[in-house]
Parts: sequence; C-alpha cells; structure tokens
Amino acid sequence: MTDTRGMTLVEMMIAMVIVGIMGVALVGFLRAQHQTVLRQNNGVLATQNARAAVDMLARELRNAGYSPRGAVSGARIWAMQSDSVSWTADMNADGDTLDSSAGLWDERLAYYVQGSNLMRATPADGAVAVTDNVDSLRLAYFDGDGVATADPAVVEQVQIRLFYSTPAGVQRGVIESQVALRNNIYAN
Amino acid sequence: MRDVPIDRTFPARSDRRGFALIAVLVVMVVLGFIGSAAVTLTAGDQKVIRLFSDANQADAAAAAGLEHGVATFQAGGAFPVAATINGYNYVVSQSVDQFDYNGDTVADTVYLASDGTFNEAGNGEIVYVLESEATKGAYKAVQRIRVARRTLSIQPPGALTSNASAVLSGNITIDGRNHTTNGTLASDNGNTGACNENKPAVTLTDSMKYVDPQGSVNLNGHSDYSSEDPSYTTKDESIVYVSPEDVLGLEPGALDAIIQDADTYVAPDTIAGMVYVDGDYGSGAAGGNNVTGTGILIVHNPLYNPREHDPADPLYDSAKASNLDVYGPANLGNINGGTFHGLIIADKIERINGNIDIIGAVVSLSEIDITLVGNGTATVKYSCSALNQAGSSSSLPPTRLSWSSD
Repeated sequence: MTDTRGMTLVEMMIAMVIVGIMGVALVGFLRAQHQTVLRQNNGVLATQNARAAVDMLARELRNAGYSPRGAVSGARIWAMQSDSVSWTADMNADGDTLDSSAGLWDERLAYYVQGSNLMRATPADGAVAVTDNVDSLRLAYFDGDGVATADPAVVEQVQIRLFYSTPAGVQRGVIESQVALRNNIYAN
Repeated sequence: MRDVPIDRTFPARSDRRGFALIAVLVVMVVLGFIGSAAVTLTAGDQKVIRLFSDANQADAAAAAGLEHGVATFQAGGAFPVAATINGYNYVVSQSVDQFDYNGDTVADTVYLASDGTFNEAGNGEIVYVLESEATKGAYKAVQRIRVARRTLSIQPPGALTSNASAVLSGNITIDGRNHTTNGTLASDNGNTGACNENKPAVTLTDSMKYVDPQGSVNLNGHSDYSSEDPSYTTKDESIVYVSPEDVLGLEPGALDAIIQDADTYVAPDTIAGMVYVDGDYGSGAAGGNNVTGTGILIVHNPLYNPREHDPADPLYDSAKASNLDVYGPANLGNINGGTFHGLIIADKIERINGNIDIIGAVVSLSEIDITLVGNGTATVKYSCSALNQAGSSSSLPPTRLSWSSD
C-alpha cells in the first residue's frame, strides 16, 4: 500500500486528450455507420417497392385482352408506349370492360410514370402512385417471333424495366420482368 | 554488483487502471447496434423476398395445374384434377361455360363456331372453363382458361398429293375413287370437292411437276380426270402444303405439343390416333416396315419447309437448303406391309412397297421428287370414311380461347 500513488496532472490531461480523441473518432464512426444504415435501409425499401410495383404491373398486364365473350367483351391493349401502357380485360366475363372489384381487379387500367412516381390509373380509383423514387419506366413490345412491334393486336411479350434510385440518388437499380400476353397469343 | 534501484514512478502491473473494459464494452455495444441493424435489414429483405417467392411459386403451381387440366381435357379424362408438385397443391376443375348471347336473359351453354365466334345455339364445339387453384403459405393463386375441342376435317385432294414429281413403278395401285373403310368402292356422290366424292389418283401442287407411271402401275379416279396425262391425275397450284398443319387445316404450330422424338419413339404394333414423329420413320428408323392401324401418321421435321429448299421458290434459303441435318426432310422409309386406315403425311416418301394397303390418303410434302415403287400389290385408296375415322380417333390439343388470373 505504501507504493500506491495517484496520477499526476500531466497524466490526467494526457488521458483526457486521448479519451477526447477516441470519443470524437467514435462519434464520427457512429455517424458514418448510422448514415450507412440509413442508406441501406433506403436502398432496401426502394428495391422492395420497385419489385412490388413491377410484380403488380406484370400480374395485371398479363390479363390484358381477356375477352371470354369474344368480340362482345372487346378487351384489348389500347396504347403501347415506351413509358406507359393501357389495356382492358373482361375480368368478370360479363361481356364488357366497365367493371371493377374493390381491391381485386379492374377492367380498365393504365400504368405510367408521373414525376418520380409509377402511377396506376383506373376509372374507379383514379391515378394512384404505386411506388416512388422512380427514374423511368421502359417498356418493350414483341410479337410471336420476338420482333419488336408497335401493333397492339400482335404483341405477345412485354418487357418491363423499372429504373429507380434512393433519395438523392445514392443508390440506383432496375427491376425487370417479362410478361406473356396469353390472350393475344391465343388470338393469333 | 550494484543493485538497480526500482523505479516507482509507474505503478506496478497490479495497480494499473485504464479504460480497456469500458472501451471494449462501448465498441461491443456499437458493433451490436450495427449488427442488429444489418440483421434487421437482411431479415426484412429476406421476408419480402420469401413473400414474393411464395406468391410466384403458388402462381407457378397454378399454371402447372392448368396445363395438367388442358392435357386431361384433351385426353377426355375426368375432373377435378388434383396433384402436388414439390409440396404445392393444385386442384383443377372443369365447367361448361355459360352466357346469354341471344338476349333472352338466360345464360346458356356457350359454343365456339368454326368462324371463331361464340353462340348459344349449339353451333360448333362446347366451350369449357378450366380453373386451377394452387396455394402456398398464405397465398392462393387462381388461373383459368377457356378451351374447346378441336375436330379435324381432313379433305386431301387426291389419293396421293405431292409437292414434287412422282415416279411410280411396279404394280402399285393408286385409286382416287371414294372407298369404304374396308377398301371397297363407294358410290360416287358427285364432283364438287366434298370429302365423300371421287378424287383424282394423284394431285400435284406444282404445275411444273409431273407424274410418271411406269411398268404396271394402276391409276384410277374420278372420270373427270380420265383425259389427263397421265389419266386420273391433276395439278392444282392453289394448294399450299408446307406442314402437317396445312394439310389438316390447323394453324401453324398447332401440333407442336404432340411431336415425338423419332430417335426414341417406339412404334406400337397398331397405330391408334395421331402419331407425329420429327424424323425418319420405317426401314430401320422409328417404326417398322409394317404400318397398321387407324389414325394419322405424320413424319415431318418441324424445321423443314419444302419451299425453302426449292431454288425456284421465292422463299428459297440456301443456308437451310445446304444444312439438311437440321433443316432437311424427314423420310418415310420403305413401308411394305400392313393395312392402314387414315392419312399419312410425310416430308419425303421413300417407298410404298410390298403389299401394304393404305385406305385413306397420302400426302408428300417434299420438293424432292418421290419414287413410289410398288413391287408387290401395294395400294393407296382414297376413303373419306377412313379419313373421318382417323380424324375422330385423333385427340388434338384443344383450342385455347382466353386466359386470366386472379
């Protein structure tokens, strides 16, 4: 016990400086990690949202032209643009394309990009954003031979590419899908 | 030796104090937060992916069920059809489609007419709805398709129809008159082109081609063709046959689903219904020398288009014409025995020989001249009833009308 000594002022100051430096470094490290976590979170959310939106578009688009009553139904693809598409489908097989069932299906639909949102438009719900952070929607249309076409009557495959980015454009990505338009395939 | 004085300005090891534990704890907490965040994000992403995966797998199972249902429908099987694929269950039901087409406010059975329109007057084939329901986890996928049976109306324009010249030799008989299914002459019901009327023995689809009967070849047919050279033959360029579908009046590719690999095909002793092999048949290839049964025998390479091999044709494709391994015709080899009722469609007929009897009709698609050598008593007799029997015994892929998913 006779050997026990306290720290000198110099030792204390050196210790405080070291602790201070470590603290600053630690805070910087924590902030960086926090930013990384936020970026990852935003990236994951943006990817999930884009994936969900493309899945929704693909699932609905494949019903395009569903005309169980033939010419009486009269469903078809209406407009094919490189950044938008609209179509009708006689989902309840009643001979027209005027109906909707809340939360289940609509017989007249359009998808397009407005600002940074992918919009889904129906007569019942109007235009609703299905995802944000969209850079662009690129659609390509192909006939039965895999040749690009602009004719709604012969298109059998639609390639969907949704380009998205996180806020401030930190992360970018693209979700792709391919839709077979069976009703056009059968009709042709 | 002097003692070295002990330096007491620095505490002994046991007396030292520091921040190690605190620092380690702080770093561990920080790392814990980071790890926790990473795990949370990853788990969340995995969950979302799993949900997508479940939905897609349920959808794929429903699609598989629908194809199972279509195949069952084609074969005339019973519904509902249920099965499990890799743990995914699907059930496919069948119902008669009903709708009010005539405005009497009563939904009646829907029929598909031959012109592709729908009616409830009984004109055409009944339309059925096949609905496939599959589940995976919390997801239920439903897909449905409307289908109608497809019936064949086989009306070849002669006992033998060829895209190329036909050199006939030996004792072969080719008779375009209408026969019963047992090969006896039926009455001539006219000459308007209907199935049950007499036809020429040989019809060529190219006016530049010819029929060359040699030896004791016996040609016979409708009297209208008796003055042709040679007798009972004719040429009709309005006929364009480049595939079996053309001959059968079906859309291109309609028979793709029933094509069998000629390399592995094992021919039954008796053909029943439609047989479609994609390569050589007979003479040591798929099938044997005997052809017996009732139905439609198709020997055709789906990649072969005779027009692409004919230098005089605008569709001539020199690359394909020189690559016969891929784009060349499938050969019907030397068939020389048995009795076949129905229609034989082949890219290139090597020989109809021996004492084989074909009651129905034969169509050769090849642009390469064919040589039919009937050294025995081989016969080809046109028969509308045999063709109808062959058509009704052949289950075709149904017409797919419309498709939807929930």
